[in-house]
Amino acid sequence: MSNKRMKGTVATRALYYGNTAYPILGKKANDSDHTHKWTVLVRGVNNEDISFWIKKVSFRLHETYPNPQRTIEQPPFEVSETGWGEFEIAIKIYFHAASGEKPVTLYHHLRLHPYEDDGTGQPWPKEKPVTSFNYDEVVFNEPTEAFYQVLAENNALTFQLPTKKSTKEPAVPFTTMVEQEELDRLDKALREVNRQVQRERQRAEAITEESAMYK
Amino acid sequence: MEAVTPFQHAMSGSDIRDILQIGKPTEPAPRKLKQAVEKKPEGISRELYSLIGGAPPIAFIKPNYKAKLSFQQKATPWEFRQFTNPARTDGLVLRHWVKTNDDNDGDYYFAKFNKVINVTDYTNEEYEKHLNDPNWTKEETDYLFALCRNYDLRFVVIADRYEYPGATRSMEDLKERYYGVNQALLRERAASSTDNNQERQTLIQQFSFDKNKEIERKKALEILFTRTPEQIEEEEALFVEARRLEQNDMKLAKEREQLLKFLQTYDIQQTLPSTPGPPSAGIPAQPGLATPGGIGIAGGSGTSPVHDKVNHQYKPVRIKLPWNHLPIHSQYSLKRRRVNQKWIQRRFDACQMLRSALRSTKFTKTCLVEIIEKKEKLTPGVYVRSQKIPPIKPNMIQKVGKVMDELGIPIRPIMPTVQVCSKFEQLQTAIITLLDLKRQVDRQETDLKVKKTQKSKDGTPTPQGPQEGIANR
Repeated sequence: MSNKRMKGTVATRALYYGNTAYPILGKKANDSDHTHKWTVLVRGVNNEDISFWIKKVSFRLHETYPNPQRTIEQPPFEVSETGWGEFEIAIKIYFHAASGEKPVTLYHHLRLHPYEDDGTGQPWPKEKPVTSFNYDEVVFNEPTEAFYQVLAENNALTFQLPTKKSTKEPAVPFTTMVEQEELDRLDKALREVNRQVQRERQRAEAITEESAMYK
Repeated sequence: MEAVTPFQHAMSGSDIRDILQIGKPTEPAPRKLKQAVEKKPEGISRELYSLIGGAPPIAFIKPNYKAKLSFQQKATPWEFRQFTNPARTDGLVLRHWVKTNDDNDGDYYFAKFNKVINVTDYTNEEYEKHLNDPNWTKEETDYLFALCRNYDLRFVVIADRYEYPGATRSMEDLKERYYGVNQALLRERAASSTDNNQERQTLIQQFSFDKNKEIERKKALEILFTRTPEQIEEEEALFVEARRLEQNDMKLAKEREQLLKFLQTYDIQQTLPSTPGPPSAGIPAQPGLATPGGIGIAGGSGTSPVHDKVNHQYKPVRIKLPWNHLPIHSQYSLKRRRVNQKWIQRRFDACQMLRSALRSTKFTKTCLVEIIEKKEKLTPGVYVRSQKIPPIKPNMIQKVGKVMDELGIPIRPIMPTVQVCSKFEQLQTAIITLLDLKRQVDRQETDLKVKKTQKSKDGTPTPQGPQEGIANR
């Protein structure tokens, strides 16, 4: 059995998940009380194929939907529905048997309604779809040999983040630039916090000195 | 008799008499007088006062009118006077309005703003001797210089207005001729005078004009100016990538050094007979051995040899270091790195501007050292990176959240990659430390205050007991 694990190795895969939604306009809006058409999905960055390491994805929708447990066994791993409310969707990702791994669960809050404005200060235009995506990485610690093989075949032992916003992919803002920005932000925050820690330490010293006088 | 209420018209006696048809002939006369005398309120007319029911208005202020604007002085006389502009050469006489009391201050005020550039002039002899050029006739050169004088050396205008029969000159041509003439003149004239050699040389140098370079420079500027937004984004992305790679390069260099230092010390350790621990058979002490289990580099590009400063040549390095056998002081944390060269190369060809800058840096030739991170024990299994960020105690969540908000960091990182996650964890722990520290210091401060007030109140040393215990932190 190739269930032996590759000791000391780690394989990582990146993906993003979320939903797009746009309001139903026109005649159809009057027929049902569903106001929005939405799609929840799981995709690989760079729009790559993820079916060689993901066997199936199950989306657990709200209980008011018929058959709330929707399992998708082939790419594209997405579910499209109509509705009127926002709720939490449990996305369970099952890996191929070769990996011998249990499925992982991600939670996503379905977004239908836009934020206050779309960044330009204008109220969100009615036709523009609302999106909410999250980036995440799935880390396989000590993958099995079989799984490692699968990954190696697909040149997928590591991944490369896209460097810039590809003009074809709308609203997939997960690039190295974003990562770098985040790193810079975190660096700045860390520096600030450390500075404050220093200040507090100095205060503590001053106070201990002073209290020593009163002993 | 008068029905005077705040909300009704004041009724005079005659009105009532009319309504009630009661005759009261004796009263009207004195009343009328009274009325006439009574009503002379200040500020407003009688009619208005009666309109509002004879009661004083709630907030009545005597209107304060502005005094009538008074002209104390006589108007100043102005004169439509003639004047000449000394900056002019034709003696044109114009007229303008001037105050008669303001004597003519002298020259026309605006004449001093007529700055003239001294375009050098040359004599015919000088031309014959030094300034002859196969492409330029004397007439054309004279014409050019006249234009320069006229348009104050503004070559954009000069190039536009240049109309010499039979000659099509670009701006670079004109500039070249102008600067060439000036340079030659400088050289010849300065040679005759006893000028400071150094200054002269620098001045001559200033007039050197390389036409081809200028054309190239303008072309480059044009390209720069007409970049499309995509290109600009591309360049920015490349800059970011370059910076990242440079950082990686530095880190790699440092790690290489550390690794070599460690290996050397480890080598020494190995030779010492007193080294405890399991036999070294399972440990690849020599860096030349490659062990399986390394994660491949993206794109399959191979590793190139590592050259260290002591001129040892190491083979492609994939070293697995068993941490539990190492002496404590050499347990550095060595992380795994990956650099994809091919991808960068492709991007380079697409963007000319960054080519030279990026080629000059050395990271395209960096080696790739794959060292597996072994600081933590790897438990087999799969997890999602963002879910592995250590959670915060429930009572601290809110406070930490507030601090993060002030710093502009979201509660959960947008892109939880390895680096981002580790930094995020660091930040989290730092914030928790900060909050704990703050709490501690505040407590100390209040204790100190208590002690102070105690002392000032009693004038005696603070009694032993619970306070002492609290102070002794």
